[in-house]
Amino acid sequence: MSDKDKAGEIIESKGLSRRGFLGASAMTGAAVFGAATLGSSVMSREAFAQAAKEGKGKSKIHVAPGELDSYYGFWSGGHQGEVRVMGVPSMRELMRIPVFNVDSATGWGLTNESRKILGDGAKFLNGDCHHPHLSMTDGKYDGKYLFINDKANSRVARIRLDIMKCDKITTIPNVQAIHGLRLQKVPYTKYVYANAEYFIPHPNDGSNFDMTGDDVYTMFNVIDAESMEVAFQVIVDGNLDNTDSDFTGKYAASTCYNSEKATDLGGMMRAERDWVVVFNIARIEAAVKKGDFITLGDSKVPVVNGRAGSELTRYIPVPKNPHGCNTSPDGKYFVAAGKLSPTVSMIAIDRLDDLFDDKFEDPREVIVAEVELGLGPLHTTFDGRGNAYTTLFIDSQVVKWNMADAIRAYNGEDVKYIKQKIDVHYQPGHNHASLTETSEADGQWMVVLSKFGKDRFLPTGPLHPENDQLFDISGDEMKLVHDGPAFAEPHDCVLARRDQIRTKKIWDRDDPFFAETVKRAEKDGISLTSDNKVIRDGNKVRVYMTSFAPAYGVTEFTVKQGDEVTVTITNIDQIEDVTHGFVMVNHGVSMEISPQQTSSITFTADKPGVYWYYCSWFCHALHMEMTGRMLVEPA
Amino acid sequence: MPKRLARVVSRFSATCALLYVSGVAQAAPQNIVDLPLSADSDNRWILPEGEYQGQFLIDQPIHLRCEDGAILRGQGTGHIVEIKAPDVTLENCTLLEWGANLTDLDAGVFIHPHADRVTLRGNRLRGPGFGIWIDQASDVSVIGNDIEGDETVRSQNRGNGIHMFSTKGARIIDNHVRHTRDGVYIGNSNGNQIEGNTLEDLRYGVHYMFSHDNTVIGNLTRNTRTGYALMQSRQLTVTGNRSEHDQNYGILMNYITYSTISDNFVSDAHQGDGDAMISGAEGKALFIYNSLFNTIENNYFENSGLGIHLTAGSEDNKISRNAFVGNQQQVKYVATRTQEWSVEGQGNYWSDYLGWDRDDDGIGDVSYEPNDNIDRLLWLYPQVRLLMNSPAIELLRWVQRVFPVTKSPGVQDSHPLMKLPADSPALIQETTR
Repeated sequence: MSDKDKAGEIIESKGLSRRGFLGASAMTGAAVFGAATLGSSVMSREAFAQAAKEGKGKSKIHVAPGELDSYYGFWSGGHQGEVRVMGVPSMRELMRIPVFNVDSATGWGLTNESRKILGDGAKFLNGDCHHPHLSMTDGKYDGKYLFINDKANSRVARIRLDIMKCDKITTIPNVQAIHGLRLQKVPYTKYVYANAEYFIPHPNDGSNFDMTGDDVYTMFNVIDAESMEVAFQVIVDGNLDNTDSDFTGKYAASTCYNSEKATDLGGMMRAERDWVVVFNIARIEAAVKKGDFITLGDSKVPVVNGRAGSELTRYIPVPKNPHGCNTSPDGKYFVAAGKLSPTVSMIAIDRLDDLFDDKFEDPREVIVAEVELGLGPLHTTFDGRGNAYTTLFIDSQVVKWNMADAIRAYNGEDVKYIKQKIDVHYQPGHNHASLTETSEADGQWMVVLSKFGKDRFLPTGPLHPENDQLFDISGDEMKLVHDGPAFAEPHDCVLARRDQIRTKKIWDRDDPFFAETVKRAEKDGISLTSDNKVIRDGNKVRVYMTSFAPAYGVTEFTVKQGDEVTVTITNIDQIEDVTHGFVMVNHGVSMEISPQQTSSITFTADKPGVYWYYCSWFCHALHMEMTGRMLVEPA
Repeated sequence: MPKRLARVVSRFSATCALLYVSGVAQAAPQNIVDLPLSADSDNRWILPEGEYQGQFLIDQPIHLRCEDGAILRGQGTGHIVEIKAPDVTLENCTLLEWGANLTDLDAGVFIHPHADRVTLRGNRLRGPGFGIWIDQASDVSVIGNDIEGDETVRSQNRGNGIHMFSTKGARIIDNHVRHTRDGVYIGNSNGNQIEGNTLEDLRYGVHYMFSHDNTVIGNLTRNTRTGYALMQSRQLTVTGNRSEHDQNYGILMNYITYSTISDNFVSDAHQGDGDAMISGAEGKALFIYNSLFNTIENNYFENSGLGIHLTAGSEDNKISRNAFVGNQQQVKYVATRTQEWSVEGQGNYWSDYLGWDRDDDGIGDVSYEPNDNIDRLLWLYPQVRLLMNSPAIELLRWVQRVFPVTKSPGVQDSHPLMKLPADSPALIQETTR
C-alpha cells in the first residue's frame, strides 16, 4: 500500500483512534519530506483531491468505465427548459429531454410530432421548469411518467419514462406562473397538483389593473395525470409557492409567502406569519360533482372557492415567507421551511381530519414542532430513518436533524435535535435524498442544488455554472463526495432506483408518439417501413423515405420553389443505438430518427437550387456518406 | 387643545383612578384620552398612578407621560397601545401582558403607517408578543425603553423586542431588550439608527433583512444565538459594537456590501447549545459570506471558535488593523484566489504570529498567512490539528515560504502588526472599565 493509500484510509476513517492518529502523523511527516526534497506540489489542491479520491468513502461514488449507476436522477433544466437525466452517484449526465425549449439535435420544437405535443405553446421558444416528479403507485415509483412545470408560460408537461420523451403538455388556463408541482402518491398518481404562483385580476383582459380587489386571486390547479386535462382549479387567498401531497390521497398542502398580497418586495415581508394552505381533495371532488363551481372565460374547467372560510381548504399560519413544503416518507408530516424565519414547521397530517372538522380553536394546533435550524431554511429531504435534512440558504449549509427529537425538544425536553451542519457551496436551494418522496426513502444519497458556483470551478466568464453537490448520507454524517457544475438552473431533482425505470431499447412501431404521422402516411397510401415515395398535393410535397444505416431510401427529390415540403423518415434499423438524423442544409431543418421511429418535419423550399441533406446522428462508418439532395426548381 | 381631549379633561381633571377597566378584552380599543388624564402643560398630559386594563388607542398628536406607578395592562390579548397619529410621545409608562398571537402581530405598542415622528421614551414593557412594532412609519424615536419578553413562551413563539417594517429614519437608542425573540428586527427599512442598545438573552440581537443605509453603533449583545445578523443589505455602518458570549456568530455578514464594519469587539462566540459538539457549527466571531466592497478595520476578535470565516467570493474587502486574539482558528477562508489583508502598509494583529520585526517599525518582517496550506489541511482533515506544533508542520510552513510554488491561494497579510492598534476597542474597553 502506498503512502497515499494510507492517507486516504486514515482520513476517511470515522473518529480518530490512537493508531489512526499515529498513522496520520507518520504520513504527514513523509508527505512533508516529499514536498521538500522533490519540490513537487504535494500539498496542492490536486494532491488533496487525489488523496481524497483514493479514500474509502469516495470509492463508493466511483462508477468505473463500463459500470452502471445505481440510481437514475432527473434534473430540471430551469429556464433552459429541458429535463436532464443523470446517473447517480457518478453524476454523469445520461440524456437530455427537451420539453419547453427548442432542441436542434432531436428536432424538438421543429418536428411535426413535437409541435403537435407542444400545441399552441409551440409559439413559445422558452420555458422555465423547476420541479420534476415521478408518478407513483401506492407511494412507490411506478416508472410510468415524469411531470414538470413551466413557470414561464404556465404549462405542465408529462414525460413518458419508457421512451424518455415528452408526450403531453397542458397550458393551465386563467393563471400565471405554474411553480410548485407535486403528484398524488396514493393509491396512485391520479392527479398532478400545480401551484400558480402569481395572483391576477379575473378576467385578466385589461379591463381591470387594480391588484387589490376581491377579483384578484390565484389558483391551485389539479390535472388528471392520464388525460392531462385540468380536472379542477381552486381559488385561494394569498399566493402559492411549493406543494406536496400526503400518503393517503386525501390532502395536498402548499406554502404561501405573500399572504399580504403585496405587489412590492417589502410588502411581501410584512406578515410575521404567512401560511400553509391544505386542500381536502375528497371534498373538492365532491363539490365539483355537486356542481358547486364556476367557470372562467372560455375555459370549461370547474373552479371552486377555496378561500378562507371555505370547507375545501384550511389555512395554517406558519412563519415567515415559507418556501419548501415536503412530506416525510413515513407519511406523518408536512414540513414547511421558514425562509425568513430560521425555523421549520412540522404539520401533523393525522390532525388534518380534525382541522377540517373544526375541532381546533387555533389551526396552529396541528403544528407539532416548530424548531430553529439556521438561517434561511428552504427545502427539506428525508433519509427514511427519521432524519430530515434542510437546506439553509443564508448559512449556506445543510442541517441534519431528527424529527422525533425535534418534537420532543418543542415540547420542552432538553434534546439535541440537530445532528450535523455541513457547508455547501454555495447557497443551496432544493435538496433531494434518494427515493425521499416515496415510502421507500433509503437514505443513501442526497443531492444539494446550490445556486452559486462562485470559485468552485474553472472560471467561465461572468456567467457561472451552478453547483450540484452529492452527499453520502448512508452513515451518521453527511459527506460531500462530488461537485458537479450545472448550466442554468436545476431547481430540483428526483432520484429513483435504476430498477424502477424501465425503458424501451428501440421504438415500437405502434407508439402513439408518431401515430398521427402513421395515419397521414396511410392516407397517402404509404407503408412507412418500406416505401420511398414522393406525394405531390398542389404546392404541398410529402417525401416519405426509410433510413437504414448508412443510407436514406430517397437520395434525391425535386420540388418547386415555394412548395411546402414535409419529409417523413422511418428508421428501419433495429439495432439499439443506431439513431439517424436528418438535416436539410440552409433550411433550419434538423431531427432525430431513432431505430423503428418515424419522424417528420415541414419546411418551405423557398430558394431554387440544389440542397444537400445529411445524417446528423452518427450511425455508421459511412455516416458522412449518408446524404441526399433536394432539387428546387425556380418558380 | 383637541376638542375631545378638552371634554375629557373637564370631566376627569382632578381625579386619580386606581383601577380602570376598559371593558372586555376583545372589544375595540378604548381611546386613551378617555382615561383620567391630567393636564401638565400645553398639550402635555399625565396619566396618574394606577392600573388601567384593556387596549388603548392614540389617534391624535399628544404628549403623554405616565406618573410613576401608572400601569397599562393588556389582559393577554391584542396590542396595549395602538398609535395612529403622528407626533405622539409616550413616556415613563409600564405596559404589561399584551397578546401572544404573532400572526396578529400582537404588540405592547403598535405604531401604524403614517404615525410619523412618534417618540417612545423610558417605558417599561413586558409581554409575550412583540414589544414595539413600527409599521411603515417614519422618524420614530424609541429611546431608553426597557423591554422584556415572556420566558414561559417558547423562544420562537415570542415576538421581537423592537420590530421595524418599512420604516425610515427611526432612532432606536439606549434601549434594553431581553428574553424576547430578537432584540431589534429591521426588515425592508432604510436610514435608521440603532445605537447604544443592550440586547441580551435573545435569539438574534440585531436581525437585519434587506435594509440599507443604516447605522448600528455602540450596541452590546450578550448571550444571544447570534449577536448581529446582518443580511442582504447595503451601506451599513456597524461600529463600536460589542458581542459577548453570543452563540453561533458574533457578527454575521451575509450579502453585505459597501459597508463599514469597524471598532467592534467580539469575544467568546461559541457553538449553540442546541447543537453542541456537532461539526460545522463552531462559533464564529465574524462570518463574511458573499460580501464585497466593505471596509473591515480595527475590530477585535477574541477567544472564539473562529476569528473570521470568510467564504463564497467575499473579495475586495479592505481588512486592516483588526486584532485576532486566541481564537481556536483565526481564519477560515475558502476560495481559490489570494486576498491581501492589509491596507497601505497596515495589516492586522495576529496573536499567533511567529514572525519578527527587526527594523522595529511595528510591522512584522514576514507576511502572515492564516490560510496557508496547513490551515487548508486542518480544514479538510481536522484530525491533523493534533499535529499543529510538530516540527513537520513548522517545516512545511518554512518550505512554503522558501518554495512559493507550493502555496495555494488564500489570505495574506503582508504587513502584520506586532501589537494591538492603540485605538483597538479592546484597549479602549480596558481604560473605561
